[in-house]
Amino acid sequence: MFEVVIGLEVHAQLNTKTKIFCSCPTSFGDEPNTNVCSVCLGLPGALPVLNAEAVKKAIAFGRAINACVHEKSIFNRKNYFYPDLPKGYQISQFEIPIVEGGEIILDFEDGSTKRIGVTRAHLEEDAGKNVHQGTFSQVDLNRAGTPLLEIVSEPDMRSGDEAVRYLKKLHAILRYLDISDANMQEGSFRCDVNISIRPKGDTKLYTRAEIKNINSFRFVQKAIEYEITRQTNAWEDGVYAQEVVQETRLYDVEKNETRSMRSKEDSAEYRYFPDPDLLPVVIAKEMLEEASIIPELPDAKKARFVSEFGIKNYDASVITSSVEMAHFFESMLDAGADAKMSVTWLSVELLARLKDGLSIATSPVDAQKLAMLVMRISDGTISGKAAKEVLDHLMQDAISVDNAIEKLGLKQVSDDGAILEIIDAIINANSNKVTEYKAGKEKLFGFFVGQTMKESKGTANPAKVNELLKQRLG
Amino acid sequence: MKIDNDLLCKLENLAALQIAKDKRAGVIEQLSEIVAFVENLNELDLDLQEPTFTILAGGTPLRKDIPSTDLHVRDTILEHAPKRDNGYFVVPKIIE
Repeated sequence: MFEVVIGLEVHAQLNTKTKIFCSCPTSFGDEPNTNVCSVCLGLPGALPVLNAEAVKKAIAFGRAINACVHEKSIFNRKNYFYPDLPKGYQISQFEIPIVEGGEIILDFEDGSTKRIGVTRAHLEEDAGKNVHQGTFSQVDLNRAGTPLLEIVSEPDMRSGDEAVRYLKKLHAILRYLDISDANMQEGSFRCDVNISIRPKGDTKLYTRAEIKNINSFRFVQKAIEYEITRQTNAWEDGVYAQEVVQETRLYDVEKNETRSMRSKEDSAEYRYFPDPDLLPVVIAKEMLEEASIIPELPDAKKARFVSEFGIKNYDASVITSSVEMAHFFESMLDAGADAKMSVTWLSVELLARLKDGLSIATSPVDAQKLAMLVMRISDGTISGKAAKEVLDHLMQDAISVDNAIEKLGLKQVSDDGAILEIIDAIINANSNKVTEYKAGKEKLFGFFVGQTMKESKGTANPAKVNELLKQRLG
Repeated sequence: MKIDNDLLCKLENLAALQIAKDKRAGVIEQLSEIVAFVENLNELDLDLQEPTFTILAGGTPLRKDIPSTDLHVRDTILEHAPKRDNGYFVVPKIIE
């Protein structure tokens, strides 16, 4: 039996307004080579000046994962030659990263947790983008110099499922802190997976393959599964040493396989050395204090929702899994909606209706509207069943909740007189059934309820119907 | 640290240099001497010293996060690029 050993490296683009070492804007999707200057183009003599905001965001992250934030860290040059890197070196951190030794806690459905160590998180600059055409490559340096936080985990994960949970938790933390857009498709949250196998019980680490640039959580899981099978097969077939080498592999979405990109054995020597253009990063006390004030994070929010509102543990982790959802939920409560009902109407009903690229952030029904809908159920204006119809309608039509209820004629009748009118008509029309019921055929009560609800087109308040029928049928 | 032919080959590769056959033995000897000289430093007991990354005092200055662009830079730099296309720099094919 084998055990899988997985470590993850995530490159998160920090959402500063400007690049890490120059004042060029960091916007995404602009015309090629418009956000460039002498610094990020690597022109001779241009000097980097560190963006304070990037440092603050890194500090906030360090605090969030319970890590050590080094008051003094060092920028190094990592030398390699590639057209997307005009200087011929990337400014990164090597000996002393800004953040070291943190943790991320994974939650499981059964309420158990697992601690994953975070080795380090360091600041560095992103490279430009290459667009590969047939016989040549185009280079766009807009992205060159965008601040990245490279977050390196310990090899603590033992399955693809754990790896995905780690990534989702890390993603949520970055979004809660608002230090990165963390958009996998746009490349602001990039993930490399280091993976090896070993016989169960063995403590040594075997050869790892690194799978690069996987752009969705689902593909991370699939790439890991493929790689586990490949390495296990190689072991069992006795060709482990030949087939599993330390190398970079690429995940091919179309073919669902990983392929060798380039061998690392002969890989370049990066010749790291302290960048003489940058003095050590010394974090002043005031800055450290300021950046250490961070918003409530998923774990704390979850615990609070459970204790404050009596929500189930798992429901609370669903609600807090993304910052957008948590804020949506909190806005519903602020608007006066009941907490437990809000959980269901948000995490079940609304989510099920968010299709075709709609998300919590772009939902046509906002927190105020959904809260109003929930409140209309609570005050007896509509039934839960009718509310689903109202929600369906609101997804298409941007009118108010009350107008939608009116338009669909779903207002629940709680008025005794109106319900009694219906009940009396039904009793009159079914006098033989009334006799049978009174003679002891109690099952017929359901028939009367059904008829009344049908006659009222479902708008009668069921509790009222029950109560009044009992009175009338005595 | 021992400098041998394997290490020399690796260094040649990294430095994009080729050492002629008749000069290899001499280069290995010279490199060994240089490394041996640097190893003198290991005699110092530095356990209690903080590593020196710079001889300058203080930390690196910080900049406020305020964007600015100079559109002339783009035009000038593209104009001087050996090859360009639609605002892109153009380089020889870099993937297989």
